[in-house]
Amino acid sequence: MNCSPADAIGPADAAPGADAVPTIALVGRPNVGKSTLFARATGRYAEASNAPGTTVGGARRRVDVAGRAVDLVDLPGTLTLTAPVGEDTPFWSMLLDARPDVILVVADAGDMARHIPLALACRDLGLPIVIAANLTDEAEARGITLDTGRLSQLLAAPVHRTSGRSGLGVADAVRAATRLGARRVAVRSGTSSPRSTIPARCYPGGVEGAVDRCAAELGSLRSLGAAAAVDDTPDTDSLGGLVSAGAISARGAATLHLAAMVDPERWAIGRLWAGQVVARTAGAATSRSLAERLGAWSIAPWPGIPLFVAITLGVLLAMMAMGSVLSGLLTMAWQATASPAIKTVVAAAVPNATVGHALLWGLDDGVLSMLAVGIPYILTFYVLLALLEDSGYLTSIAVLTDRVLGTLGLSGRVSIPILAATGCNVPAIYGTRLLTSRRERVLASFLITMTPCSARIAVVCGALVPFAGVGPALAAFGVIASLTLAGGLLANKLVPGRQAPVILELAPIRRPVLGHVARKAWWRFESFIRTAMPIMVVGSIVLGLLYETGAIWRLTVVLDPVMVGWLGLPSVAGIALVFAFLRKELALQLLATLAIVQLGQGAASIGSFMSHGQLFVYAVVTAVSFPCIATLSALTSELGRRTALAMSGATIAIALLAGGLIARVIGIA
Amino acid sequence: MSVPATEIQLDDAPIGRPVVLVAIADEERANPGGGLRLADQLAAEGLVVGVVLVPERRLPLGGPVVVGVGRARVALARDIARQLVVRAAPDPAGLTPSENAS
Repeated sequence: MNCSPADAIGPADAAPGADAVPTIALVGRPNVGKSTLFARATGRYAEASNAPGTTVGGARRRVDVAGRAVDLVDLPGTLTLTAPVGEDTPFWSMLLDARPDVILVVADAGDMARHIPLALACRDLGLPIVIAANLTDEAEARGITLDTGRLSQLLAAPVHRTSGRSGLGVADAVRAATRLGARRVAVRSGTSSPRSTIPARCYPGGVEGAVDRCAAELGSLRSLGAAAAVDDTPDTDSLGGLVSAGAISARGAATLHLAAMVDPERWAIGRLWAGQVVARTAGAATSRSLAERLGAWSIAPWPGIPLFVAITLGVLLAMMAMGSVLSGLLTMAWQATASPAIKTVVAAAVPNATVGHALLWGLDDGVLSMLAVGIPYILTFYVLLALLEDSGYLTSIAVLTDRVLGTLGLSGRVSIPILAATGCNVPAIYGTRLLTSRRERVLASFLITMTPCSARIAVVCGALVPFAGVGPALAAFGVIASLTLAGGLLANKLVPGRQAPVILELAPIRRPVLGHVARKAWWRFESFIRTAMPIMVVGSIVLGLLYETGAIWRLTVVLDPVMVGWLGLPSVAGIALVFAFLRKELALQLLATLAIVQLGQGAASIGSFMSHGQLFVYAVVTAVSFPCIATLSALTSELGRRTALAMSGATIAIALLAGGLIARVIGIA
Repeated sequence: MSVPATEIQLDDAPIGRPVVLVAIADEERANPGGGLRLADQLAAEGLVVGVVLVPERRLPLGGPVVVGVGRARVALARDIARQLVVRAAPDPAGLTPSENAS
């Protein structure tokens, strides 16, 4: 059985003035090393998450290939062209939005039976394809060899052995794709004629007949220049439009429309062709490799669960230990160098002392906060997360913890971000990109905002251990854990939808590539800084203005009925809680500072003006209530403003309700 | 859907013994998380009628079932595993080379 290249298609709907630079789209299943190959080809890592719902567009980079400019577009990993990316967008829509002239299909050389179906689907679109048979080094280590010549005949497309990690064959594959892309650009610009070919029949007669009928209807729409639907199926509007615009062939549109019918046939062909092109070298070991054995152990209750506990605790401890050391060093360095310089410049440039001081809240303290939290904790977490991702271990964790977390409407994938949240909520919220649906991301993010981070843990310990002892501190953590669990259960009931049952391919366990890990972590960290830094600086300046002008004290009028009347706390505690929005660890320092301003030097110790009961309520309310500004910024960026505000409101409501009830039980209100 | 004596649900299939996927009981069921039909989601993982699977592990407490499909391993919720009807695979000599390779 042999399939010819796709039927010739007309010029794409190029934008006026579009240049003659070919676009190569990288398409492949998750965990096939596509982004590594992209990084190897472009010299820059770009994240295109495998989690539907988290990627809004592919990464595009222009590179020079043998003296010719070409755009490479890295798209998220996908199982099929019709799989959803985001809320409703199918992958093919994202692919065609990239306006590819050629598709570079990245496949696993050691598992072609699972990768040929996607290559067939891409080829059916009517665009030229090139196959990068990636992970060749791994396949050969397992004694698997691929007959690229035969596969090239079967697919009627160039096939190159590649290894994104070592760079083997990557340049050849990109060059081949560039040649095909350049040819299509020439057709598009009218300097070359399209090559007409007759498509061979790959699929059984009944399927081909259905595809032909559908293609004829879509083709007639094209001839009419219309984009109307063929039937009631929702996507035919857009498919008809794409055929009309010449972006894909009528046959390609028909195979998308009839994917449910065609996909099983592609899998049958995949198995058949893989049998023809894959061979095991004589004498190759048939026993499982160490990586395969590790993969099997990682999902077994023994030793999988102890291993999971050890790894997650290790991640947590490493983040806190490295974070603490780096935070101290950076703070010292900032205060010794940048801080005095900034103060000097602001004093010289801003004559008004109140405005000057407010500016310093943002430019000095705000930036320092970002550096002291961002680099030590968040970058460290991103490095550790990238290590786990690159090793393939995250999917094992998802399987191992799936049943337990299912009670909260979450899949096992959420366990790592939630544990990371005890270090810092911000990277944990970005870590929810690993989840597969928006519902899961909302539930997980809510649980994360209620999980005390290291700063909130410090407030609970700092408020209770020195004044009330270890017992009340442990009791406070017990209350916080119960509230978090109750909040998670409640959210699972309230957020519409049901938990999607898990259907998950386990990533093979591999040795992480440090360069790849570093690039991935740095890319994510850059994104975080770009999002959070402006909010942190501006928010700090606003709070600074409130403090420096004395307007902050007027807040007591608004806050006292809740703080004093409901929670039984001193008036000044409300203001400290508002300031804790900037940084949670400020909740304690500011409480003492503001108390001195309001009550005099005798209030330097919070134990001198607050009872044990008040300290308990203050610690619980601080730990559970409103996230800090950096967390709110991350929530807004990931889930949108409305969801972020709703979550913040819910945490405030839970904190105040619980705080008021505790105050009544212990008799302080 | 009743299961003939020679056909069983994947959830009940013995661990380590290859089975052939015979049918998907509720293939039209939509995924609450994503909109695709169950059959489409399974097809995306290569779980189409006729494919040979090897049940590798059932996680305790009603956790997922892990099956080998070619060189890949796929975790399926028990709920999903109960929708998959399988029967014992024929002699390995009857399998395609790619299936034997795994």
